[in-house]
Amino acid sequence: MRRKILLVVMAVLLLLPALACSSEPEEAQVEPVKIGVLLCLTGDLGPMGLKMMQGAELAVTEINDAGGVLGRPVELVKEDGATDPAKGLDRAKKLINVNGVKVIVGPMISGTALSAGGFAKENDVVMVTPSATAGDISKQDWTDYFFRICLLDDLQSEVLSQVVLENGYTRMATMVLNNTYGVGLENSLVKALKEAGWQGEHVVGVRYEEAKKDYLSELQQIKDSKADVVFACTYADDGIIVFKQALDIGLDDIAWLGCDGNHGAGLFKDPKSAEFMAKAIVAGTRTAGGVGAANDKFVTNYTAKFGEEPEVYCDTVYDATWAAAKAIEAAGVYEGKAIRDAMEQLSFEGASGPISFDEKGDRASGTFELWKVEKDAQGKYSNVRIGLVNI
Amino acid sequence: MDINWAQILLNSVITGSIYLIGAIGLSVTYRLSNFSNFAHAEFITLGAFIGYWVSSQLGWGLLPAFIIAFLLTGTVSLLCYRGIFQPLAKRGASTIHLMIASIAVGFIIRYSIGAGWGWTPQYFLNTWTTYEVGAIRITGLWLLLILVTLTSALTMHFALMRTKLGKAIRASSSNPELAAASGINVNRVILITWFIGAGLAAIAGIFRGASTQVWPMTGWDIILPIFAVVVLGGIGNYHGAIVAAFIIGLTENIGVVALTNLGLATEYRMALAFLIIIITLIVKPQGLAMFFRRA
Repeated sequence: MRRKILLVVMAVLLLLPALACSSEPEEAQVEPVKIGVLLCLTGDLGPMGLKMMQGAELAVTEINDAGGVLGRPVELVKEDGATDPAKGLDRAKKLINVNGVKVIVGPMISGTALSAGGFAKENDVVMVTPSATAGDISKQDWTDYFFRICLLDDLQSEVLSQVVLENGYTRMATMVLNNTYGVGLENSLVKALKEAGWQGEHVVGVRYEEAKKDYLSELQQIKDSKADVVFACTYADDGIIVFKQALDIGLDDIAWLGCDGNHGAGLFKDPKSAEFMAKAIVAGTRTAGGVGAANDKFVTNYTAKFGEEPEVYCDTVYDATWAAAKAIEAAGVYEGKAIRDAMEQLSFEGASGPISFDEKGDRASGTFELWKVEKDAQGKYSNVRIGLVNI
Repeated sequence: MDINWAQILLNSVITGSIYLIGAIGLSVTYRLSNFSNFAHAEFITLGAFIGYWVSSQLGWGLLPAFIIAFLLTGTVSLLCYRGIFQPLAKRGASTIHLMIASIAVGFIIRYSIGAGWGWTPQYFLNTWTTYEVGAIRITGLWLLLILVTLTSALTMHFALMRTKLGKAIRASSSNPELAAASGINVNRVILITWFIGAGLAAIAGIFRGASTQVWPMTGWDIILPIFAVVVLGGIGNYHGAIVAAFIIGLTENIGVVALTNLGLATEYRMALAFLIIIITLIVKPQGLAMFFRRA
């Protein structure tokens, strides 16, 4: 008798899991669709990356409010690329191998795109970068899995070359980061100027190390070169030092050109850097962002959610997240190859303007903004748009 | 291209001055306590942050910043020595043990600073007038730096040569046993050098911070050229360090000119300082000390 009771109890115990399973489906947790996000949240671009991450968060909130993708909610898997190509590759591997994501919004910097792009393709993972702008990326053999929402450095340097030509500068110096981004932009600017028949001379090209943080002698070279225009390609934290030291040695009496890397309020943390930029920068460039309903909605929602206005590349990361979601939805399955095929056909109105890709996965067309730095009556500095250029 | 050599020379003096003020403490404590204190980098960082806190966050101006940073960092250094390095040495710790301990102390200070002030770079809010003298431009900060360096160099020189304490320091560093036997309180001498050395490191930190940025790695950013100064100058040799600091400063700055003209990135300029260390260590391990034997 005892044994029988025991058997029954055991049978019930064995059956319990099965019973539990059969009763669960209605309230089972639907597994979310994962989108990896690889942005630089620390390192020199940390301040910019943190703001960009908010753009991705905003997009996901909106995507989930609209019902998610494939009938499931979307979940971001965030990783910090640390403004370092080696760490970026490491984090990309983690997203792909450990988290099993099939699409990554990122990487943020061109160096990490070059270090991680091949690995992503090998694993059938699609990358959509909001901000890796180096021209070299288009020459790689993995661009069929790599899409860019941002406009290319080559296009940016065409806009810069127009500024040089229009103002009749004849002696140009360059002060650029010694990495893919800085040297790439320097080269494409010189090339664009030559192609446009510029008669001037590239008098000195300084390629500096961002970790050195002291550029007096570098800047002295520019001063000694008697340049009439200096193109500065910097990030935020090193840019502050470049500009404040440029003020120290009196380089504020010649024209300076900026770019997307030194756009934003982060550069005004040091009063001298801000003063220099307001005095000396005649124009900087950056992706203009959309002009229209989609952009207005993005700016309003971003400002409402985070209590601050979106800055550089916040719109492209927002668009990249939406592009990832739309491609997964169009693919119908969470599978790398299908997502890639869907991404190639994608066309929609994003916060940064109309989005579609050319055969290299690069953004097909776009608008650039020319900006300056101005000081208002309260002594507060800000970036001001002074023109738009269609390329 | 016309190269403005006067300005390059001035820039070298500025670079060298920061290295020199930063190196004195490291050099002297190395000699007296017989190990290289890696936490010295964090004394520089700590000084920079205290300076930033006093002058920019509290808004008290630069002079109080220098004084408070000197005293507080000196005190921290004393506590480190009394609380950690001296007990370790008494228990028979070797040079290697002490060195590793100093790396640990450095990490603790660095990450405590990071936890307190954060890792985002901060910037001094002071602005400087710039003066133009002929082809040379010099800012108020640099003038102050040169003034402070000259003053501390001269003070140290006369203190070491003329005062009882200076003689005690020199005696203790050349032969501690003999110094103790002649009635010198070697322990007191060591404590004083730890205090002053770290105080000077703090001053170097403020100058470095004000001309660039302040973050938990501020000291670490420049500790390697500072070590180069200590090695080239001859460990524990004050006069050697002065000459070495300007040689390293000059090498770095001329290196930038040479590298730019060769179309190379200027990041190699640090490598030039190290080339000097390696050559010194191979050819004359005692560094420039051989020229200043009496010192």
